[in-house]
Amino acid sequence: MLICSVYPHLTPPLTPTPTPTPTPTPTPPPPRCKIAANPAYLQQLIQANSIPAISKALSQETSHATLATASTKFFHTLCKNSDFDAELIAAAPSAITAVISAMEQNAGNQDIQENGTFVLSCISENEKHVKLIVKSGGVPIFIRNIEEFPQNINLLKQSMMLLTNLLISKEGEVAIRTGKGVDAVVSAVMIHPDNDDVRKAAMELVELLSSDELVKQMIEGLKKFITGQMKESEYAKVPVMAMCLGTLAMIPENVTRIMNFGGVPPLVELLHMVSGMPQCPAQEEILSALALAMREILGNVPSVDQVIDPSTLLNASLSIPMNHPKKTRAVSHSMLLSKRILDMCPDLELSEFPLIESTVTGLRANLSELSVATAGLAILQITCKALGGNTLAKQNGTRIIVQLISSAATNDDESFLPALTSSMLIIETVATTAEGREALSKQVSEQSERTFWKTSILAMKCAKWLQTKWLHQLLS
Amino acid sequence: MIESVMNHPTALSKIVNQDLVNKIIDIMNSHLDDPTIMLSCMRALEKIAKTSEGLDLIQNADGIRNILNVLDTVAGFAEHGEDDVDIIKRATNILGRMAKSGDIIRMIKEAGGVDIYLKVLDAFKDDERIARLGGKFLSRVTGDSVDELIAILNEKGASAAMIERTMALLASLAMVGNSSVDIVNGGGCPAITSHLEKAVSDKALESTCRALARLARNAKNIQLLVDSNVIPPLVASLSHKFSSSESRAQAIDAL
Repeated sequence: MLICSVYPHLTPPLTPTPTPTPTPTPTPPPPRCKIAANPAYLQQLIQANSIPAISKALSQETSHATLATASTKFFHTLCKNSDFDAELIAAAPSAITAVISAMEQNAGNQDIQENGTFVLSCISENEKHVKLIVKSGGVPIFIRNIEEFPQNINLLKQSMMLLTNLLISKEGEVAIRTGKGVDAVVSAVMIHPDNDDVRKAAMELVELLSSDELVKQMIEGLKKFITGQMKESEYAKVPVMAMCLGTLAMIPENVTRIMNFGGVPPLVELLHMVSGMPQCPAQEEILSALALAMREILGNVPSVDQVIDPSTLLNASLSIPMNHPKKTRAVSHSMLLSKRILDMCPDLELSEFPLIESTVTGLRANLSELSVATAGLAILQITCKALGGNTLAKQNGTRIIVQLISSAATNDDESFLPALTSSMLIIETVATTAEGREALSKQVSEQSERTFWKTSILAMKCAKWLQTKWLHQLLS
Repeated sequence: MIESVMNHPTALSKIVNQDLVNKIIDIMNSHLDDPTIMLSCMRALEKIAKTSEGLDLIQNADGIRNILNVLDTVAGFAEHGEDDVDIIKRATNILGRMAKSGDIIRMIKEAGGVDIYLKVLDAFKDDERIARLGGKFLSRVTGDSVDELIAILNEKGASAAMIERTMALLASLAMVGNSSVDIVNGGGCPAITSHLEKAVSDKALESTCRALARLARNAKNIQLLVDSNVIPPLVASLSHKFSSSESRAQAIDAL
């Protein structure tokens, strides 16, 4: 009962829409305004016995926040110094236990958590130190930091890297497994599904923690739910199981495991089943997690039909925006899944699927949602290219495109430019037929002059990529 | 009510006169045990102090002494809340606006302003905002005496109390860029460093470490500090007989 026992700590991050991970901006290196940061003073610091002295001071007062912050910062600064041998910290009596104790005693202080985690990461390549870290109760602290500070990307990455290092010892592995380390990582990945740094750090850890048993357990749980053998009180575990499978599926070996244990059909069946329900507990979380899990699986297989019939999966995915258009996160993940299926299966007969109906419904309910707009418009672009722009005009889809352009214009947000570009390309396809042109001019005339003026400015930016003279003419 | 009226854009100039300022100061003085009322009065005085006429009215009401008295009282409270911090910030703003001429600075010094501020800074030593604000104020009031302060450190017969006060003042001045430069240029690094080993009390050692930690926030100062051989005595101060949690934290921060 590794994963399925207790999940209350995983529930809170599921409920609110996760805040998107901020785009990392390159920051200039901080000035060396610490003595310990300057390699020229390193020998003086070592000769003055600063490391054992500070280690002793810290071990005597681990709960003193100012002292703990200064001490862990000192060690952290030393470790960042490329000429410094972190073994000197490990060699100082009680340094490791003092750092861990300071982290435990100052649980809410993120500076101490970050500094301490970094320092311990630097000395955790040695099995002897790893054993001491585990014995001193480090693992629950590192797992707690992943759960409690999910928005602190640095701490998240460092904690996951440290946990990965701890797996070199059996004691470390046992402590991480019993401490529900996988659950914490799953929760972190779900909060930052598109952050490559978080995913990379999580993947290494998940890869080492994955096992046949773990994958089997998740799949069995889902099967129990589908076949009605699960107690209602256990339903809250379902999104976590789906999330866990999604996270495990980041690793190609686990995709093989999921396939070997017959995990994909229950995932898709569950997707269809939950999407078909008018309402059920944690519906948005379950649908998001399942769509994400399937996207991860498809990311690790050469073709869709290797794991499931593409039509079945595409229909299941398209049913989410149609049935639950206001469940934004689920719509966003399902659209990304549909887009991936379309990319991987260029030979699908698109006219057999409600692509336009589903996507337009999803877009209409989430006009200002960038993730939905980007994925939805990409689907419409593929569909229009395959079926002709006329199809969109016939199904009243031009209205949503023009609305999205206006919305992007009023947002004044350049992050909408890719979506806007897709819109322009769709309009270009639609405008090739008389019916499409008529629908477009009707929609365009409904827009106010001011909005359209702003739109044209944005369109010019897109035109930089598109180089479409026609676009200038239409919008000028 | 006075405070509310003062928020009106045009009412302020119409109702402010010497009588009103005197009344506000009287109310403040009779409620020295109530931070909420003191804060309200200080807010009103801060608004009045926005004009030179207002500053004159406050000064005529013996405002310097009365405001310093409030600061002294607040610093003496056993526990401190957000209102106390707010009172100190606003009082410092008012006094800072007043301390523009040599005469006023002399009055502040005569009213014991420097020692009251050192008491405030000691009472709120974990508050970076007050440390910065107080340092800036003290820099304005005593900024021209950095050389004298360093000379006291180098004196052989200076009393323990004198050293404690001087070091606390230098620690406070080290928060402010200009004063920090003056300390370094005036030979402050070796003078302060020498007091790590010969600390006369726990307070003196704490202030010494704090002064060094603040000076060491500047990369240029670091070089001068290391040249003054600061590393061994800083490390040794961790086990000094007068060392405390705070002095150790500051010493480590300096490294």
